[in-house]
Amino acid sequence: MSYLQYTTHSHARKVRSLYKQAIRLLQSYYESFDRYEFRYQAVVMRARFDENKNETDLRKAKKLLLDGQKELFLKSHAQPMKFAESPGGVAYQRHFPPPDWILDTWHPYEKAQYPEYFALREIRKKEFIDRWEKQYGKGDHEVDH
Amino acid sequence: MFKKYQMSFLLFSLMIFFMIIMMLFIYKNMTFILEVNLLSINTCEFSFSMIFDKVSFMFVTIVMMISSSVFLFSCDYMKEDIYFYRFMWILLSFVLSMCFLIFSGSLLFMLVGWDGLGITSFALIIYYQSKDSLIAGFHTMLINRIGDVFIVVSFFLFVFLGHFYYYPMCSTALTLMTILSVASLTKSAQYPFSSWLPAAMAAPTPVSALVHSSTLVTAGIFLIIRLSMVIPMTKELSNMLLLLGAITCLLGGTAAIYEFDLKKIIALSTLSQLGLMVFTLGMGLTNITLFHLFMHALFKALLFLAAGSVLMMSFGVQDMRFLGGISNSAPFSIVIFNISGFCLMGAPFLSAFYSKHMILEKMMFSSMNILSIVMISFATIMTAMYTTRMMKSLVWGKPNIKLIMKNSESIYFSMIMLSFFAIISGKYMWSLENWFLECVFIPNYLGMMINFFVLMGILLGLIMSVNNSYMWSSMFFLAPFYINSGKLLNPFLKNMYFLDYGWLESFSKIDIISKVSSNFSILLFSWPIFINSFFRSFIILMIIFIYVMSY
Repeated sequence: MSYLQYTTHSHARKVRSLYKQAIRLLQSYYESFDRYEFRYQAVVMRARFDENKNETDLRKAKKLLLDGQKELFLKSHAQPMKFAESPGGVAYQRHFPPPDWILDTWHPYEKAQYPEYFALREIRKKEFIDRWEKQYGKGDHEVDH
Repeated sequence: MFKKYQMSFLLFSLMIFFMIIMMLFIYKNMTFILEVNLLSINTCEFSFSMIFDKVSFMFVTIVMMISSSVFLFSCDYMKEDIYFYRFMWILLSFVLSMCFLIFSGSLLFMLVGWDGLGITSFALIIYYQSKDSLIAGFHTMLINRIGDVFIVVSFFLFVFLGHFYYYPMCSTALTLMTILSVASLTKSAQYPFSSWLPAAMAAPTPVSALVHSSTLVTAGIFLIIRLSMVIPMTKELSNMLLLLGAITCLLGGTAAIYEFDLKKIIALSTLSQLGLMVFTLGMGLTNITLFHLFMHALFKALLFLAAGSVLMMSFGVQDMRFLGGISNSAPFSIVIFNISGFCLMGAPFLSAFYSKHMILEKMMFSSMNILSIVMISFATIMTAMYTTRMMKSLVWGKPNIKLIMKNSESIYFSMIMLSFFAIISGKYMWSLENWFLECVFIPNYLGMMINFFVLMGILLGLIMSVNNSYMWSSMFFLAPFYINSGKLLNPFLKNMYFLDYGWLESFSKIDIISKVSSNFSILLFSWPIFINSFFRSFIILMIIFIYVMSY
């Protein structure tokens, strides 16, 4: 694929990954009231994997894996099931609280609209840094951000 | 505690107020026009004008009815949100813009409402601060800007007329009517401009209930209705509306069959119903269009609220394959959902029965070509099909995720209020206003055929299994101009392909990627669309060709 692979995956791990993706794909093809049909197909899928479980010839095993990956691609679903909060899901990054330091980037004119809040904020920032330095000691300013 | 609900109470009391005035205006059959002249240059008057008549009061009553329910609903739906009050204020400004549009009598005043709707709908779509919402928001805004361009063009023609009012326009202002109709089609998400409506479902569900089902998308249709009260439509314009309405109706219904996202199905059903409304406008029946617009607004808002209460239980999971067995965990919500679903199908004696059946019977009665009748009949069958499928997925089986029941009284109350109106309003409106009545003389079997279509759709929906189609799921037909725009805009995009996550990416992803990847990855990336590209263009061209030739 297009991303950079930075870990080494064993053959067994690739097969397990393929199995998991195949079951997820099967699940995409059946609605919740078709659960019995899905269970049946999942058992059939498991049997197809178990059939070649004890394959010792690595060339053959590798070919089986590649064939499986090709079949997975060809049978891919147009709208695969995605959990809402996962990447690609509908609620992905929905509740994203803006980080606190954004307020420091405000323009002085903008800050001037809320004078009390920002005055208190400056005091709190100073207190926080003091508390931090008391607990962990002074940081090295050369590597400080 | 009370502060949360005060906007809802305010809107509810306004609804009662407008309802009383509506009765008075209907009884007396009055029309008031308020004009404020801002500026006169030579012979041209730049003026604000408002029309108070039965149409505007009926529409504003419906808008207040829906918005009071939606505000009550969102008090619970959005209560966990940190920007709750910001959300409420944007929603309120949206309702205000809609009221401006409804009462507007001149183009200048209409533009305040029109652009207000555009801006607030953008703010509401990007309310959830994710990348997808931003893309959807820009998509919506840019297509609506196309409509604004047409409105700005119409300004010049209005200056030639010497005023900006709708009502004293003479019947020779046909060019103006055509230009404003095209502007309305962008707002009402008709065929070439319809891709923004499913994309706009990135907004929170109360927003979808208010904005993308009943108010914003009906603004365009309302504008055409207002104009066609003074200017008769030409044959060419009627034909264009018939063509675009029928295509939108059919394609929206077909896409809904292949969709799994609960909210997107409802959005596509909205698209289908909007197509039906524009089709009715093409037939020249403005009164029935307005009637169906009101009925559709009521039951579609209810459908979204019922779907929203399900989404509250599932913590935002919208995929129907995760959901199921909701009749056990939330029987009340599912009853409301089914009532609104039956309204959508046009089941007897619910509100949409009176409007939808009348449209279909008038269609059978008219001297229209057989192809449009077949297209709309198919769309009717499909409406029943996907609604049944949606109900089936939610009611039967067991959920694949944990559903937690946490609905409260305010959610129930808002749904009860709307469902009451969704059931009775069809008959009530008929008895209140004779303007909505039409005489139809057709043989009995044609009248019964409409019921047969609905029954057939329900049966097909029951036996239908899950579909998988790259062609229909990609919604290519909703975005015919944009899906391959990378090819058209190639010189423009040459220096932009290295940008990360630009808003253009959703349109021209495929071509940007093809510049920087190998042959294999092009095939991999564009595989589903690659196969169907010729096929889909062919089908669309065939439909348009047959349709045009049959006139």
